[in-house]
Amino acid sequence: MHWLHPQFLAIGLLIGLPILLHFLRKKPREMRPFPTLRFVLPSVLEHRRQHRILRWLVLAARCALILAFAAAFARPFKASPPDPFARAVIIAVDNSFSMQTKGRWEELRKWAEQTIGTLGPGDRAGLLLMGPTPTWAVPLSENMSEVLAALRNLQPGYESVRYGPSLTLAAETLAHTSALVKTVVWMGDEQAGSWRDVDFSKPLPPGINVMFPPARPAPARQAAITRVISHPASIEVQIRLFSPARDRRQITLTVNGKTSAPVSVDLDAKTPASISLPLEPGMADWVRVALDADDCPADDIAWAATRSESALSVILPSAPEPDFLSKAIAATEQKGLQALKIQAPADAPWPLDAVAVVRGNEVLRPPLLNRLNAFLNAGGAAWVAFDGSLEQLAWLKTRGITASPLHGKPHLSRFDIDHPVFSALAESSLMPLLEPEFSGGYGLSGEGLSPLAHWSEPAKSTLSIAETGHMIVSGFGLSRTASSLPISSAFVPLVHQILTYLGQAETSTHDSHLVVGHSVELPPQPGTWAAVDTPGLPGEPTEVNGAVVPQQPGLYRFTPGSANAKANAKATPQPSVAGARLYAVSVADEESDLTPMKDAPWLKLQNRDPAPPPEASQSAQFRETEGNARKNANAWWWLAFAALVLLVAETALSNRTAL
Amino acid sequence: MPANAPIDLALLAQLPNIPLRAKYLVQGFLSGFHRSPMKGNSVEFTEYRAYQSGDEPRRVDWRFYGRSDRLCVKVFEEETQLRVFLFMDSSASMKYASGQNAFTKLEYSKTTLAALAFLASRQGDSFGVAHLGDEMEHFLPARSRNGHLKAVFARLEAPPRYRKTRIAASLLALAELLPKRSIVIIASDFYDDLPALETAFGRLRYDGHDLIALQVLDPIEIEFNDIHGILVDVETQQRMQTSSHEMRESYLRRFGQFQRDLADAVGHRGGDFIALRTDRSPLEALSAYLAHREQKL
Repeated sequence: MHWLHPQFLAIGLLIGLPILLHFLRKKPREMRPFPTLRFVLPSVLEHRRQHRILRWLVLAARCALILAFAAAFARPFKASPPDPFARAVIIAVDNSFSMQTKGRWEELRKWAEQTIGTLGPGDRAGLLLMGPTPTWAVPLSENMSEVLAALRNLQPGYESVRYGPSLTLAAETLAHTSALVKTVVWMGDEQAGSWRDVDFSKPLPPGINVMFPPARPAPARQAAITRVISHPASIEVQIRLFSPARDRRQITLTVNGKTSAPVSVDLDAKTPASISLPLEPGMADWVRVALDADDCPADDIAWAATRSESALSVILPSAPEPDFLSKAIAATEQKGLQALKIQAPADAPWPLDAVAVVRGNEVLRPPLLNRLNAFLNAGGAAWVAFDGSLEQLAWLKTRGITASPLHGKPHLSRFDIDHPVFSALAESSLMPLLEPEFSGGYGLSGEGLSPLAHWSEPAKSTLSIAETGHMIVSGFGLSRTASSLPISSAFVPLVHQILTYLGQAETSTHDSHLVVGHSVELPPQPGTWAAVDTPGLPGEPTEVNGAVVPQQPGLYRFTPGSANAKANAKATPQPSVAGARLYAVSVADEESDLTPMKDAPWLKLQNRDPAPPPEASQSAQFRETEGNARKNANAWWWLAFAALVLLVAETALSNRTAL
Repeated sequence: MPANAPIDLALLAQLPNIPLRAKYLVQGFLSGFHRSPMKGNSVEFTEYRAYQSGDEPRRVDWRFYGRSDRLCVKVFEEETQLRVFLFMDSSASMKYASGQNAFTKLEYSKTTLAALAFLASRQGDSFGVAHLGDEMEHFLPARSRNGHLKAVFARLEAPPRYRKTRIAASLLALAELLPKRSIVIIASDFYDDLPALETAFGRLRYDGHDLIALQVLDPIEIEFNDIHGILVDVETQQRMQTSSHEMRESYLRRFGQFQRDLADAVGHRGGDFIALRTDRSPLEALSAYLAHREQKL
């Protein structure tokens, strides 16, 4: 018998309670004279024996009742113990793009195949893919041909991997088998970066052997494009050389599918190179930058989506002059950033791809208030510049946000520099954002608010800018009287970052960290995700809704709409469809460093303790095969029923024994 | 019915001594009769006594009334020489009284037997008393003379202390002392060996005695309600943990069987078996006595 939730067996300890009650039960102490016991005595002797039996029966019923409840909650199941088998081998496959390094994949695959070839009848093998998260390609099985076939069909992907989770899963799985020999065949290239999250001080479970491949030298020629930044009239390409120490490489630029002549660049392993390639302003939708191939070709190519031609609509209520915000929005056009188009709030449905700005009280009165609420409820994004008006306060309260006025002249502080709004600003400097002085700020509070920035006083935990859902709330107005922010140099970039972030209008570039294997957030409406330019086969366009996880690097286009848009997405490579956006997805640059880890610290992972006997690990194996438990699901119902019957019996018996 | 005559037991218990209790009982008993139940024919005049309510008018000495202007009746030495023996069980079990009850079984027995003695005295019967015990010095032979009633009361008032009495053996011993054809009234709980009691009753019947067995019981012995804890046998000091909840049914079954067997043992020998509860008046015993007396006469 085995238990699905053995922790509930602890309930069984409660049987001590009825046992205690049994022995500590109240015994009569009152002495009472009686004329004669001649009529009582035979009855007492008769009842005493009967009661003794009854009391033990009650105790037994109570104990059995508790044990039955405990067993029912613990969900027992019956499973036949596995037959011990000689060897279990798990091939842990590093399928990251570093394995695309010339010759590496083939060599390691042959090495793994040789290991599988040593297994005999009754042995078991499994295939575990490491990236992006550990996934069983073939669970532990006696079918070696299936494992071999799956291994031969595998190809390295474009994800990056971390070894820790895969190593743990493989070792734990083996530890829970009854195999006599348990081996993890580590088909990886031992990059230092992949071992980053492994704690070498914690050995694997006893009895687990890990076979590491023979050490491989770093590749002779390896460089990676680590960053592609789109500027209005140029493309900035950052390249890192890993080996040799100096090298001359060729860069080829492709603009909207048209490839230009390669450019030679000299690279130094000590210093990352930054090369600027000219672009004709306004003519490029996307670019591809490629280095001449080296030992690891996956990171020699990168894409960038240049700024979108379609302007982001900003629904902006009017404000008295001087209207710094409208001027800042107009200034973004002059700076060559994402175009922002101001649109007055109208009593008609607001487009969901627009960004609404809530300032003053104009949009907080019907009928615009209804439009605003409908817009937000449908997934629209808004920037609320809270200036302290009662109407704004009341409206924010309906959204679970409260604001309290601050005294003094605080500054903005403690920015969340990992947030896209500030991460771009942080690259240059956040100093301009720290300088403005606020004469009338408000501290924000409310459930679900994610802090973006705080006030410098009176308490550093007071929120000045916060995000909730598709809304950013700033605890200050945007007039000159509220602060000196509108006349600071940080105002235009801040406005641009907030609005483009909310509108998700900025076409993604290499520096926006869209990485293979990670979720890409898309506009809220459903649409089609199609590859425009990828190193491999582009694949069919897919319907997406809010997010997508790309499997290979490249340039992708999101087209809002459903079935019809899918056809358009396939037919037209240019983002000419209204609302279409381009996304450049890259490989993770951490995977480009192919330098193996020194001193082989993974050898410390081997546990020298003797392996536990197979019986000790059986329960865990049963836990793994939960299907067995489901087959026996009726057992706990029977136990619950038995507990009910015992409860009735206990009640009946205890009533007969009660004094 | 005389047995239903109103007798206030609480008041009875508060009366300070046996003679008063006896008189109270007898007067209450007699107040239920329109005619005096007392009967007696005698040829030998002994004395005058004042007319009392219930005396037959024909027994009034009208000549004496003419001489002295007082209503008196003549008292004769009866021809029948009716003798009544009152036996009282004074064992430890008789000293029992449950919580709310005013009388112990012993006090109740004393009062009842004193009333019977008083009634017998009124009837002109000779009466004696004895304690059921191992020693014979507590036996007072039957007499009908003046002053004997006082001696009987005194003997009843101060019974010897017996922890455990073998009633049957004591009855057999007393049977040796009794003149033939008497009325024997026994007040006891009869907690003794039943075959031995049957033997003793048989002996009394053999001697021509009329037997009236008054089984004096506390209500709790009859009902066996609300008994919890450890019961201590007042005679043997034996202890037994029990509760009425569990035992009542079997106790009542056994106790009822004992009572039926005892009644049969008495009834088969021509006697009367009367179960008296200490929370009810004992007038039934007085009625039984008069009934037997009438039969004897």
